[in-house]
Amino acid sequence: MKPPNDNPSSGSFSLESSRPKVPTRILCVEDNDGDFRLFQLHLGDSPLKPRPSLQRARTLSEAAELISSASDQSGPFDLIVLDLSLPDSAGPATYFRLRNLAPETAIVILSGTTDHELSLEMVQHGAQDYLPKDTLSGDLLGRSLLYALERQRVRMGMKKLNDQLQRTTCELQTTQMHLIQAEKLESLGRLAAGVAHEVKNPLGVLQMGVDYFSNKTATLGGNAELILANMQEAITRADTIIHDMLDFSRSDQLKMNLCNVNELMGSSLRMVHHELLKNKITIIKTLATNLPNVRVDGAKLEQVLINIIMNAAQAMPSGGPLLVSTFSAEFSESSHDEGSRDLERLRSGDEVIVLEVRDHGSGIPEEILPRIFEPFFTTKPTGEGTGLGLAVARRIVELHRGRLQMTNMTSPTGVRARIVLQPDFSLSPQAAPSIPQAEVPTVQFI
Amino acid sequence: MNKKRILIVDDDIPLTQSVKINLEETGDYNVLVENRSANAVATARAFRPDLVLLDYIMPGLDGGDVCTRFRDDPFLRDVPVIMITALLSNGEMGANGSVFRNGHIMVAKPIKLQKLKSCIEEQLAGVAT
Ligand SMILES: Nc1ncnc2c1ncn2[C@@H]1O[C@H](COP(=O)(O)OP(=O)(O)O)[C@@H](O)[C@H]1O
Ligand SMILES: [Mg+2]
Repeated sequence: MKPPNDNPSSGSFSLESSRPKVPTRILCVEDNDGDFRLFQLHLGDSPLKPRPSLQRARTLSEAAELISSASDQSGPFDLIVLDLSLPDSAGPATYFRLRNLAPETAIVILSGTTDHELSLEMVQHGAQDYLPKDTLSGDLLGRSLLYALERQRVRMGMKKLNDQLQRTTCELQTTQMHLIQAEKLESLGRLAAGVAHEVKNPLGVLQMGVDYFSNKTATLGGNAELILANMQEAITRADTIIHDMLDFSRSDQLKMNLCNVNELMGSSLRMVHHELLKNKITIIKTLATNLPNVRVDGAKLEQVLINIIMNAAQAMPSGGPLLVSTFSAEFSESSHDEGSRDLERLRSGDEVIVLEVRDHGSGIPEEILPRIFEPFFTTKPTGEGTGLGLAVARRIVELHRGRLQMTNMTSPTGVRARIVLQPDFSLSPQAAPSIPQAEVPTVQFI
Repeated sequence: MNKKRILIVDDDIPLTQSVKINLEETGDYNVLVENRSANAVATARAFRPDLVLLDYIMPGLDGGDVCTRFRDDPFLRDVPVIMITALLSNGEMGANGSVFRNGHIMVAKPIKLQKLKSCIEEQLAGVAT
């Protein structure tokens, strides 16, 4: 930082990087005509090259207008020279308002004799400099403005770096989370196969035992029937967990077929029909016609839908409406699928097919929302939830290069679950087998 | 009415015992258990089963190996085989709880007696027609 030798008379400091190739654009906010003319004069005397372009505002609101139209047209001002006492604003507030209006612009305070102290304070709050009106000269002004520009440039550079750093840190954290999650899933997969073999045979023995005694409840008498029913439930529960775990270890083996999403929705609903009936759930279907097909493993996708539907039903313990729909849409990222790994396939704007299930339950508390896809994360009592439903569901959907999006809804509260899939155009919807329209009532009460 | 002959090949002794008892108590079947997969072919040749229940994961010869030997055997090649495996998940099974894979009906453990029976009857009927 040394003054260049070829221009000693300027007394100003200059840096190659900050030397403007286009005129510096300055906004002077000053209500006093005399003070403004004086400033204009000094600016003319200053060694700033090329000659800066100067605009003037007499009030803060006029300044605001100029700032906003400038940033619309030619980009923000490089520099604002500010008198703190204006007709429509006075004191520190003037500076802070302007700072907000032009966060990226260097601000230099023009101070009268009475407010040097205040000006100094403004410098501590991010103003680049303050210039006393009474002792102003071309040289002083030029040097101050150059310094101000340079400091602001460095400051913005630092801000940019800092933003970048924060973004990178955030990305790192997300990646780390994914890695941990992926590892968890993988070891779970390995474990599942082992556990399945070791546990299913004993379960098979128990099952045969229950079947054996089930034929003999009459001779066993008393509570035999109840006890056998409880044993059967325990076997089923243990079996369910193992099945869910197995779905991890095996879910990479997909049997892909062209499927009609309305049929998938229909068959899934049929499979849980009794459960829904028992829970007084009313199904309201809105299925789009003529949707392109999807290439998916139908049985697996049904499993995903069933998991989602059962969650929705469990979220409405005293019953209520369940809105299921299918439609095509433009893909857009939802904020709650940060865990998705396969980001390269679906892009915002892609045409996608959506299978949606909405409930009117109480929604998912914000603090657990980031955890719902974790294997074994559940808020339900033992026996009711294994915490594997959504973990399996998301894994399956992602293996299809799709997305599973869970979003809280307000008024009425509830959860919106979306399975987002890519359409497969290799067969036109007309050519593909599909349910005749008459069999798909738009609204069905069960 | 003559009972159908069923051979169970599975290394798990308590499991095979209880399956045998349950199937025989229905009065429809005559069941023989073979717990060593290496002996499966010899036992089957002697027993002449109408149907074989075959475990998939076994020490030594696994279910797939045993099945291949049955298919290579002139006396056993047409005997229907139901594979029973611990490694099937819900997502891989059809609505009726079984799946057809690599030429076999596969069912998942633990299987309920009711389901096992209907699966056996289905297979036996398939051979009869
Ligand atoms: N529709 C929903 N409404 C409210 N909470 C839900 C809903 N779906 C999922 N959740 C929450 O996410 C958790 C994890 O769901 P899941 O993985 O299916 O496991 P489980 O249902 O066995 O608990 C649930 O325990 C519940 O807290
Ligand atoms: Mg669930």
